[in-house]
Amino acid sequence: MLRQLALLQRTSVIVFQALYSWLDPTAYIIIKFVVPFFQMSFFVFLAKFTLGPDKLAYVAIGNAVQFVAFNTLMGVAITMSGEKWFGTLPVLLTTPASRLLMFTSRATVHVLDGMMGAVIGLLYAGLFFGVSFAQANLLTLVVVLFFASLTLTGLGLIIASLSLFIRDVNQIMNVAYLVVFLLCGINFPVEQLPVWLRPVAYVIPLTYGIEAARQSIAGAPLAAVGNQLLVMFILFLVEGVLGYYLFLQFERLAKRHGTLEVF
Amino acid sequence: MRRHFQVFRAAARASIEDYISQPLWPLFLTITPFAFALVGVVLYKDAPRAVFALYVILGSGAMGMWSSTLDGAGYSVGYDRIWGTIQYTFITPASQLWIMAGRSLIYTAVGLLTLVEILIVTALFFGVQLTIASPLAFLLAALLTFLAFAVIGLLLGSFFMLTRVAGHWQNAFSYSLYVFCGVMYPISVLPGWLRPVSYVLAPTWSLEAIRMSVNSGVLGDPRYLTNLGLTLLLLALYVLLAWYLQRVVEHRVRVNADLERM
Amino acid sequence: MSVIKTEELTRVYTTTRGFFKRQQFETVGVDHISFEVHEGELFGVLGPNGVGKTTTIKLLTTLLLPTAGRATVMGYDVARQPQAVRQHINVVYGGERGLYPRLTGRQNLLYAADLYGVEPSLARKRVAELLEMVGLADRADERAENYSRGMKQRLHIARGLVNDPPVIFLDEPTIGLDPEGAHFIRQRVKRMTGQGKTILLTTHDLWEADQLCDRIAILKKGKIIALDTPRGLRRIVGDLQVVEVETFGMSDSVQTELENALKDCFTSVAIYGPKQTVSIQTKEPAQVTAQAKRILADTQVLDLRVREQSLEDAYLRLMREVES
Repeated sequence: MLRQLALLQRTSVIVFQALYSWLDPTAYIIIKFVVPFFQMSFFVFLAKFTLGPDKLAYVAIGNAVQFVAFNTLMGVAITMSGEKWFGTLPVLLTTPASRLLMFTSRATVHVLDGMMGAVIGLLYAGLFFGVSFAQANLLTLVVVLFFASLTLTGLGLIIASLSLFIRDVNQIMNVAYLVVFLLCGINFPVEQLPVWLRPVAYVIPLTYGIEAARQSIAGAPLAAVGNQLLVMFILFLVEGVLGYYLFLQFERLAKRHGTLEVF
Repeated sequence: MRRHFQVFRAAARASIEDYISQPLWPLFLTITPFAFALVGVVLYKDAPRAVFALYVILGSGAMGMWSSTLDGAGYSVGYDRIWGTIQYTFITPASQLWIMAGRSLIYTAVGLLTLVEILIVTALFFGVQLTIASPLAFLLAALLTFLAFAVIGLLLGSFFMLTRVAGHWQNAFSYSLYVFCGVMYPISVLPGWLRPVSYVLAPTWSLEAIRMSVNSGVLGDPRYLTNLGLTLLLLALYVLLAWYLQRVVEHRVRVNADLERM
Repeated sequence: MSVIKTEELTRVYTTTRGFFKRQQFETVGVDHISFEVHEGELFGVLGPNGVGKTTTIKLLTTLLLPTAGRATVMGYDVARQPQAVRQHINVVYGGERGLYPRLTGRQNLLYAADLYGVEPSLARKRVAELLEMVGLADRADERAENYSRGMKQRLHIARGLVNDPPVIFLDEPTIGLDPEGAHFIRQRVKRMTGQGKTILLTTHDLWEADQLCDRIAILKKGKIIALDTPRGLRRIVGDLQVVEVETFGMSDSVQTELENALKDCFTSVAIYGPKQTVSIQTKEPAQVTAQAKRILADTQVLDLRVREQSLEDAYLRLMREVES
């Protein structure tokens, strides 16, 4: 077990370098600090005008936590798509277990980086948008953020599997992100969605993660969000397994139909 | 001058032809502003109909135009480099500025798609209601708003040619104008220290002028005229800046042999 | 009348390397080159890669400013009057890039015509003619991204003529083409001079330069090491001709006898199975021919001819000379 973990750690570091080598420091700073600032600002000010200053915290926290999706939804989809997957898949590692290792090491990077994104968002929320962390239960918050980031990777894998067939992974990824953005109770509660859309929100782990984050900032202990964390984890397992299965299927199909050249 | 218009028309036509060759592209270009505007639809749904129309519907148009213009500017400079087409246009007598202007016009126009999409959504679920008491004033302000985004696109194009890392700036600017120009909320909502940025952005003024035009007798209103005047002034400044940047680029390219490496 | 004229034209590239301690490196692109191209001439610039051919074109087409020296095209200074120069020129680059892939061939050409300010109705007519000329008329309305390499090059040629320029620059226009495609391009280029155009062509293909050009400038390390007609260039390295004899079944003893008799000349024998080709470089082809015929009286001679030294011989020798 220890050896597996060590291997995981080693491959993660390599993977991190490989994944982010195309991204120079300036690009990273812009994507991690500048873009989120403006995105958050827009919705916070919009909320300030339409809902009033007392509802700001709701929107600010929602927008902050959803930044995990940049990495665990979109990032995973990008790094698991086409050339990025097949190009770097070591020839030796072709067993399903090795595939799992490869995926896990990539996902680890994304989960941690995703948490970073949420933390930065929450910092903005505290510094600029008047969210008070005085009551916050930091332990709960950290655990919630970790779960929020981790559990979205299942969906990320599902989208990645779709991208094996479709040329432009960016578009699917973008659409998936926007769907999550609209449905997961980030700017308004899920109850305000039309009835037929609500089930979709309830199968996305982030919906629970955001609500749990709001609770933890209000001071809730870990036990209080236990149910949500459990649901998130179950969804993660289901979606992860489904994604994994789909991925292998599509990978096989893509090889057979020669759609790899599409990349 | 005739030559400049010919180049302008040619660049616009080439952009249209490019879009036609990938018909779903405009939809994808404007999908983010559409999604963001949908949030506006939900947050404003209980507001008076006039307020809804002024902020959500018009705002979505502005967001779409900005997103499309920004992406268009980045896209055209980026692809010119990838395709290697920039050398060719450089050695023709055509002015790079007029080429960019032609393209920018089309990119901005494509952004209006968001407005259409939100109009459809709103009409389906809520019904639209907006009476414009000063239609002429409205049209004038709307035209200027469109122009404002197109000229900003021109400026961005010049700027993106100057830097080798256009993609970074494209990302950095992506939602900035949503925040500063009062597209979906009045700029009075912004904290004092952020407002100066709003003031130097032309769409801030023209959007305000549009909102004023729902009232009657606005055409002679000094505040309305000031808004238009400021918009025009800023646009003139942008054009000047774009022209200057273009000259810098041309000189730099010829001295540094940057064109392919750009 | 010289259409293109360069005087001590020089271009130095400066690159900076290093983050904290910035160092500047200078590479010389072209080094004080001077030449003139006359009206209606097909002038070649020949040399290996990286020697300054593309730099020369970039300087003359106003893409680059010279570091020193000057150049004029149609009498206009390339540094100070770039717009005037651009009105009168066009450039054909080699390779796949430079076309708008999602536009059709026709749209690409019409766009270029507009950039040059060609009057629209004239442009439409001319584009149709050009497409016909380069053999793309039936595929003109397909997207350029679907064209083969050869088709793209043909489209480049068409674009080079879209404003009917008096001066055309071609930068390695046949690079990467199959022999048929390259031949087609060369034919078109040759035809352009027939129409009174002045052409400057860069290439690293000796045979192409020999075939097409009226005069050739050979570049090495940014300098012109030789400038003359192809014939003149061959004579630069000595007025030698080559007697070439093809024999069938020449015996070893005859071969030795031949080599001994022609000791003063540079002789080489190539063997292809039962056939042999003897190449004798000499200043006295008639004498050598007589000698060879005598010695080979009893051997089956398939062919005997006297040929000129090839440009390749001259070129290689020039390159080696400059080295030393």
